[in-house]
Amino acid sequence: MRYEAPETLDAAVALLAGESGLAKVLAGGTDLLVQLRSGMIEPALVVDIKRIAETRRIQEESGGFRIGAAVSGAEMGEHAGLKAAWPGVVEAVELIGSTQVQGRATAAGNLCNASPAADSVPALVAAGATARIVGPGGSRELPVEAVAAGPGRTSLGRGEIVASLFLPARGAGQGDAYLRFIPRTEMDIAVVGAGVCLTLDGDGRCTRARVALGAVGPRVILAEAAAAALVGTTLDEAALDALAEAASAAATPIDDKRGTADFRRRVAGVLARRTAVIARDRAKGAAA
Amino acid sequence: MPEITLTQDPVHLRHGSNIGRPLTRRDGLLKVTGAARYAADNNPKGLLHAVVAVSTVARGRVVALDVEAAMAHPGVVEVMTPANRPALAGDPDAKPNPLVFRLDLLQSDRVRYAGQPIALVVAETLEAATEGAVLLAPRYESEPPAVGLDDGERFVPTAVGPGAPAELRHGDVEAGLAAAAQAIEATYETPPQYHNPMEPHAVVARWDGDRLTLDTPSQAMAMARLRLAALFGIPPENILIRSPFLGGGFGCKGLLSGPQVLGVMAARLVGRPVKLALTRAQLYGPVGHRSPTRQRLRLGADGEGRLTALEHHTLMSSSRFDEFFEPASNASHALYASPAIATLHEAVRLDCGTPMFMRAPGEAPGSAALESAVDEMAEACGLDPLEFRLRNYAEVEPTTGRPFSSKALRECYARGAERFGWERRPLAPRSLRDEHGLLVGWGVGTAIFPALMFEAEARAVIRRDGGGTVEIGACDMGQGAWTALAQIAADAVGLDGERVEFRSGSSDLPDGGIAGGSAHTATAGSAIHSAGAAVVARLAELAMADERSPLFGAGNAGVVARDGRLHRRDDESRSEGYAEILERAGLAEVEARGKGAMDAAAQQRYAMQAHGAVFAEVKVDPDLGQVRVTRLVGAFAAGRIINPRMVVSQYYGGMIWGVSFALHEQAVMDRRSGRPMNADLAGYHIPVNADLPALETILVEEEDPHVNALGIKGVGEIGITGTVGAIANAVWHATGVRVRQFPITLDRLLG
Repeated sequence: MRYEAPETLDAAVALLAGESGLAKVLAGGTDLLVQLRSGMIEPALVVDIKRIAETRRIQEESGGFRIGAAVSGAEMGEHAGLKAAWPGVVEAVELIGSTQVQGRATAAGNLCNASPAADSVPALVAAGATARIVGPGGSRELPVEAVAAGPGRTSLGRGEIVASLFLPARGAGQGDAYLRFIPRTEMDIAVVGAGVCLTLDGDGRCTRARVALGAVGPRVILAEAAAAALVGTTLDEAALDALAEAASAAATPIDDKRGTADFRRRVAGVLARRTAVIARDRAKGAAA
Repeated sequence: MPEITLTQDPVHLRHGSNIGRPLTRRDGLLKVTGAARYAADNNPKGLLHAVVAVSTVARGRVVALDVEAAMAHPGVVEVMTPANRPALAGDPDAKPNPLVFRLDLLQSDRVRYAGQPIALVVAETLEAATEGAVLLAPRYESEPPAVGLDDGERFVPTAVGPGAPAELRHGDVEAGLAAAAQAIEATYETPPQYHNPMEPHAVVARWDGDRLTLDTPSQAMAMARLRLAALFGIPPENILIRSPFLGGGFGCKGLLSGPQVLGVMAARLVGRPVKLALTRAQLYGPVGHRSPTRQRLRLGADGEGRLTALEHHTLMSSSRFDEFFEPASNASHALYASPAIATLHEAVRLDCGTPMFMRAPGEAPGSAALESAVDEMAEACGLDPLEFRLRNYAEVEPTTGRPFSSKALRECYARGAERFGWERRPLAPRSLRDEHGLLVGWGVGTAIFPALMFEAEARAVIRRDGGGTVEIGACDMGQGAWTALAQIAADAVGLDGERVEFRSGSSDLPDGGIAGGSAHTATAGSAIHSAGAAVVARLAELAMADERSPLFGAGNAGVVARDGRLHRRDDESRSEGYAEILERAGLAEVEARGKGAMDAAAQQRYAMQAHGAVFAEVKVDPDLGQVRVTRLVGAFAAGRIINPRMVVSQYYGGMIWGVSFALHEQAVMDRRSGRPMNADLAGYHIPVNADLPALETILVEEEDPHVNALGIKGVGEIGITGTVGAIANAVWHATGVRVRQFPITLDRLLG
């Protein structure tokens, strides 16, 4: 196994593109190192991107935030501006692992690991985040929901890496939230995760909503029918009930040791509802 | 402190001031500074690293191992397989007594369970050995394994646990059920569980000719030494086991495991010191587990809520090749009064490693089922569950009629209930909510654990400098034995704790017995107590026979040992210091040995049990079924308390095991492969601090003149009993849903 730590994105891309065997990108390493140690993967090349300057910073851009691919969860949590604008995204990132893991784990890594249960992804999807992908063919922007192709698989081509994530400017009357359900209190993988981002007008009526569900399908689900149940409403009980029902209906879970499919469908609805209430309250705060 | 009356020799008394003090751990500083040296921390010169390769199939044969590829890897020194492992003098499949378990030591290509060692790679580095083990790329001929309780032929084992009868019938259960005003029948299931100590088994083994030195965690060094002596055909005295610290054991370090012996074999094969440490995943196979159980309880009660019959039937499993049968039904022997009690066991054989003693073997799953069933019976009778338990209070051991040596359970119920606020509990389930709309439930469970003793020996020395030494090969597995036993030792020789050197944790010291069965303090403590009594008696003889001593002629009046002096019992102003007595006698020191063991006559006459009452509050999310234990209060009576700080910690630990059993722990078995699907701490859940409520324990005073001279019962495991049932009963009270499958998971709760 070859280990490289280039200092530019171009060099990283060249290394990855030039490798004929299995090549992996190392950001925080909280997934990759576990996979290496347990023998799940045996890459020919590991490219550490932490020495590339632009992957290590959070920058304001067009009123939003560009988060480098090697920025850790702890660094996101310490960024006051980011936290104020996108509390749901930051909370989701902070749910990943323990304090120690937070010092290393990255949102981009969480995205590229492509686990259906990735905590930060439903929140990013709900927030309308995009990923900047650089590769041999140049640079492109992709909605985050298009990055994962299935459990453990991404849509990225050979030599491509996620260089940064972009969270757009938070609009007036907009609020986001993420909740994860696990049986115990900490240190567990989501049975269901729900991210909601919504916008309220001056009358408290929802004008725009995005609802994303994790761990209830092979990829994070952007539940459009669930979002539609909120738009045009004041998020009254009837609207929240409709949201819950639509979220349960959108879920396509499997039975596994963390929960049965029936249970997950039910939790998806309950969680989407609770998340929407938090997002609503945040949006009201933002509108005020 | 009251005077300690010596059963051995009432003439010589000691006056203790060390026992009963809440001292902090003697090894605490070593542990928090990282200076405590655990087995795998040892790196003797010339050390090689061994990694064990384990089977991925549960039943079959290893048909190919690529030994050449492993040997070709840089740094690999040797690959040990059935073809080249050193010959053993003793057959590892021999079963001379029930406490010797069959070990897989590369005797053949046969695979008896998933996770069984099939080869071992020795290398200059851990990394090379690890890679070598991967390169072995084993191929198997596999057969479909028996994995669950429905997969095997049922049979009644000849004995359960460490030699208890599998069936016990007292009175007529059928008649009792027929006469009952209310009767229930309920079946409870508990999953396979794995011990999961923080410290995986490790061994550093070194041979010098036919002498063997090993650093390895052991809950019973003398037994481990005997086993090794038999396997390798050398005298036990040739073997030195050092086990000063254990990172937890929970029963899986009680008896020597196969991988520990493999490390010794590898050291012999390569002629250099070898270190072998299991990985977390490798703890799921060759070092024991708790068998799954399916327990059917049938209870009947009369119109007054008094039991007329109690039948407890357990189906459990052992391995296909050895005998350990979880004695779960025996939890019903001594707890509730009933004219008819039957405790029955059946077993099946599965393709798994042999189950082993684990965190209150028998009592833990048995209590979980019994306490749930008793709650269901109380509900059927329309009675408060605590009131129901009091109505069925056993004044004598129900199955034998023997009196209890002591039993302060009533006080445990009363004090626990008062502290918890039990009297405010509404009878009906699903009738409490908190301010956030969560369902709240309160439950109670009775704790019980036998007051056991094994055998141990200790040596005590009093020196002319006025100090003393007490030696015993006891085991501190985190429970605080070093601290509590040193307190007993100080009192035993009548010295302040600082003046007594307490030596422990090594097999060249007198046999400290087993740190298991919650019997270590009682057993090792009794040995220390006897050794101290004997050495004080020597000193007293010297003084009383010497006319220059103020104690000359004390004779029948006797003396009391305190603070390094002997005092005349009938006139405490007449005393003499240890140093003066030895000085005059021209002796550098006196020494004596003492033994600790169960008093067989007392055991015949009395039932000996520790008791307790655990009260639990849970909160349940009505939409998600998420359960949180929010309060736990445990009141326990377990005889004399040597060190209240350590004992409270042990009760906490036991209660946390209970939370784990009730809500978290389970190995999920793959029915096709026979492998646990969650063989790591990410998947096999035990509660972390965030999952635990504020715990509270109450030490209920209990004097027991019969269990042993010190009046000590065990405290190590009782905390798990009662707690599991209390939580399950609280969940029912919160939700109105009775989950009869442990752990109580959300899907089971929401149905």
